[in-house]
Amino acid sequence: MAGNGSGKGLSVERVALALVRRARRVPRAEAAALRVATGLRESQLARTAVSRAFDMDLEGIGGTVFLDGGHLLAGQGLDNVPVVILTLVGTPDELVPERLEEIGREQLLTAGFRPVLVVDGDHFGAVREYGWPVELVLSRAQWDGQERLRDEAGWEAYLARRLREVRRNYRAAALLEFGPEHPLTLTYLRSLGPETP
Amino acid sequence: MSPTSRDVDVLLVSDLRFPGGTSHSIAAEVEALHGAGYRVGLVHLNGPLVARVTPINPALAGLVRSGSAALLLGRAPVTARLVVFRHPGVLQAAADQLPPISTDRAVVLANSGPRDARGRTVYDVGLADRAARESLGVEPLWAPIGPLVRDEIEGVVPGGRLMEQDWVNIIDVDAWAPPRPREGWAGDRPVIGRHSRPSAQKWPRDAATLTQVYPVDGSWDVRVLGGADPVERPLRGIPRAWTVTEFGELSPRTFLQGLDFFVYYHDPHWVEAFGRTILEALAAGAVAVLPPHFRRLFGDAAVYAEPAGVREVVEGLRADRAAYVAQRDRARALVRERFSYQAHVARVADLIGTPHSEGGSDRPESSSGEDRTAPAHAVGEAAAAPATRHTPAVRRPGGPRILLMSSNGAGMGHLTRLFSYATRLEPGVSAHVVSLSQAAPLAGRLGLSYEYLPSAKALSMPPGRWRPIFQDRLGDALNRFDPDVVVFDGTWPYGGMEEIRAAHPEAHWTWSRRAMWREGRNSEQLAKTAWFDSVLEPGDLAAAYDRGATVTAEAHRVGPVTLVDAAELQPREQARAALSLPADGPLALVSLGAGNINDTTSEVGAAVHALTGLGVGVCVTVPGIARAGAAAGEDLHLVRDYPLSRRYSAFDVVISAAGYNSFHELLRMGVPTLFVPNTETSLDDQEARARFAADQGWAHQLPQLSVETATPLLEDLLDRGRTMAARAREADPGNGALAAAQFLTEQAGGRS
Repeated sequence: MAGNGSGKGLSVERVALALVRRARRVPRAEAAALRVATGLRESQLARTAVSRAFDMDLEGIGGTVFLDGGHLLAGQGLDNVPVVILTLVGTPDELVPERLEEIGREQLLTAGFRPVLVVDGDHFGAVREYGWPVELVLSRAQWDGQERLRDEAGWEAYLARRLREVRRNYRAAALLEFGPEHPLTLTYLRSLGPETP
Repeated sequence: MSPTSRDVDVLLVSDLRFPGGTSHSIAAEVEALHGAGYRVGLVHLNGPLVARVTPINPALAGLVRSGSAALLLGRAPVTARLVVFRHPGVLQAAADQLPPISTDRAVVLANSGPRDARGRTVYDVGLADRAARESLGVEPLWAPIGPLVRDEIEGVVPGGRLMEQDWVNIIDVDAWAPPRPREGWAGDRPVIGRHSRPSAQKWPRDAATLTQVYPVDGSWDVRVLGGADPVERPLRGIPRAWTVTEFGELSPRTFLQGLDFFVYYHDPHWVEAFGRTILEALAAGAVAVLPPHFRRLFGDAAVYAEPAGVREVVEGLRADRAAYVAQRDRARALVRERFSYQAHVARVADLIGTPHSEGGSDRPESSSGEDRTAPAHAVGEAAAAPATRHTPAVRRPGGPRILLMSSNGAGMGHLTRLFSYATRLEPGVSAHVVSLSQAAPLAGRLGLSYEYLPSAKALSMPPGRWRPIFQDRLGDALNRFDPDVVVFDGTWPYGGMEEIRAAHPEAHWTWSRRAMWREGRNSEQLAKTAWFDSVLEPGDLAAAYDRGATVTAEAHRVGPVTLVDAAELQPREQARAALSLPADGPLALVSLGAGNINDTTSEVGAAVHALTGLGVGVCVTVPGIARAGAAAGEDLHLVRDYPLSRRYSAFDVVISAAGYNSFHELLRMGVPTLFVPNTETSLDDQEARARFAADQGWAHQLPQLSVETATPLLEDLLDRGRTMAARAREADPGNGALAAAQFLTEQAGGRS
């Protein structure tokens, strides 16, 4: 049972690209296309077409990232709001809900970032309340307790590797700890919004 | 930081992103109420009038950060003595974003008329009123922000609910006042000015009016804060004699304190609902000269004139200093009396009394959605007890390793099937679950290790962008776990799997592929069989009705797979006790899908009515991954348990969708069932499965459920459903999970 899949998607892409080449020539097309793409958040084709038509930054750090921003923010331009990785690894379970509330508050007050949460326990229900993407890593206890899941480099190296991957995968603008004390993280997040009195 | 209390005195609800007067008015009310000792909460609604991603207005953000108001996020219930909705248009459009709110008093503050300057509808009083009533369960009062809005809404606000007094904006009078009243004039000629947004409606539209009220000949010192772009066309440029300052270059307070007269005229077609800047000017010590329509709002606090009379008014007062000072001082006294923080506190106190000195404001509350979903009176939260029977007693490192991967799916089917295999592996075989479902932690309850990998759908990410994430994450798990077998359960193998497989050629890859695909659907996916070394097909009791693409495909087939065996079914009394259900009386379970594909609310409602009519108590499942709201608020027994099938004896009858797991668990456990197939699934042919069961006389089925159609079938099931279900048990070849586990172990043994 060896073989390969078909290349059916190529013709669709060619059509989309032809369409967007034409769209580029239309005045105010970008704003209109962005509205369409925002309205069609579920449509890969629409979003791909818009991003390609208008040379959005889809490769570097920051820029346009098609990623869910959660339930709190709304409006055009969401795909350009910076993605920030916030790690709650090591946070006691009972403190996670209030950490999430704090993150949500800062997100709403600043409209300056889209968080991706990194957790090491079952906090999916609590995160789902806000609708943010969440990444799960093995906790130190899981690592220590299950030999077959480990590699030789150790848990710290595993965590660092995973966090690097997460940062790269989401092209996040920052990777920050949201631990028991996090004044610099808050300073950074608040810097993404307007100055407040 | 501790969790924010959701018990407040006054809850202010609006789109808190508005850049101008609306947000500043909310901020003023927060300051006033907080200063008086009221606990103030803010709920933000993403309304239709702010198009772009926008932060909360900085003035409000500052108050939240300083602790003057609590910003209440999420869907946890809120208790408030008074709820004030500012802007009916936001309420009307975005009430579905509100959390549950308990309150006795509510005010809808009409801060503008129902139509804008172009005659377009901004809100409908009836619809906004209904949104408030449905959200709060109380009839709100309506408060116009001023006389002009009152004129527009008084004929349409439901009888008796229009407040007698306008809910005027307020100002911190002392903060705007100059340190000392100015003794002399601001300059050697009249110094007049205005402060507004540079929008056309805020300015007179024709040159004649403009030059009457804002002379261009240099006879007066005309100062403008906020830009004057709208006059460029009628006046052919901005007059040289004017001093125009943009927003941000000068504080409004400093600007206003430097004026003798605040002269404010606007487009005659524009309804200025309030005019906050007028209030600021009055508090700052300027004499306001306004169009006559403002008299009903500001009374003797201002001087009124038609445009042609402005020069006479200004120069008359300029010539009579005593009259000017009398007018200025009268204005400040009236502002303090009607528009001050104290006036607002008195207005609120009239509605709800004085602030509570205590009352739970420090009471911590969890913001976990899971904590709130089920009411305390009827929850079967028995899921924490792990089902350990199938968990291998010893998991030695070094034995065969099987990595089980599920797609996200809409329900629990894929994951549950993998659990069925994993919990039946022989001792010494290690299992590790990698799931795209947020229900993955259920693996931990079964004694299995697990990882979660967010799906493209969960991230709202185009699949092409998601693929490298999938490859990285799965590749990392494969590197660490080093499995002998990788099992993928899903109907749509993800792009990128073939590359991952190429990078891990040492493992045997098995596709666990349920049958009963819709006829003619997804046949191209069968080509992905080439990505795998073997296909494992869990059997289906309704296989005779299978018309899908897998029927003739090559596969290793086992019997129908369920997580729980019939022998594990708990006795009725034990099951009801575990679910905190009444020990006596007939009970039905309503389980219509996982809640993520369809909104089954109406079918749940019909089921509840039919069962209630038959005198049967109703239980509704609350799946761990379902969105809230399917049955919230109904007087039902909410059941959350996993795996629930071990407690099916608690129920006399079940109304269920006909997904693979539910279908086989119910029939295997011998439960009288009315199947209501989910017709919106992309691939799973639930209709065929339900039809087969009905044709065999094992159960009843209804393509669409209503009270009228369900009632006779439920009566029949209550009468002879056990006999019907017994026929299904007789036809059951037995649980195929063990055979599947053995098959996977054999594949592991093939690794050299």
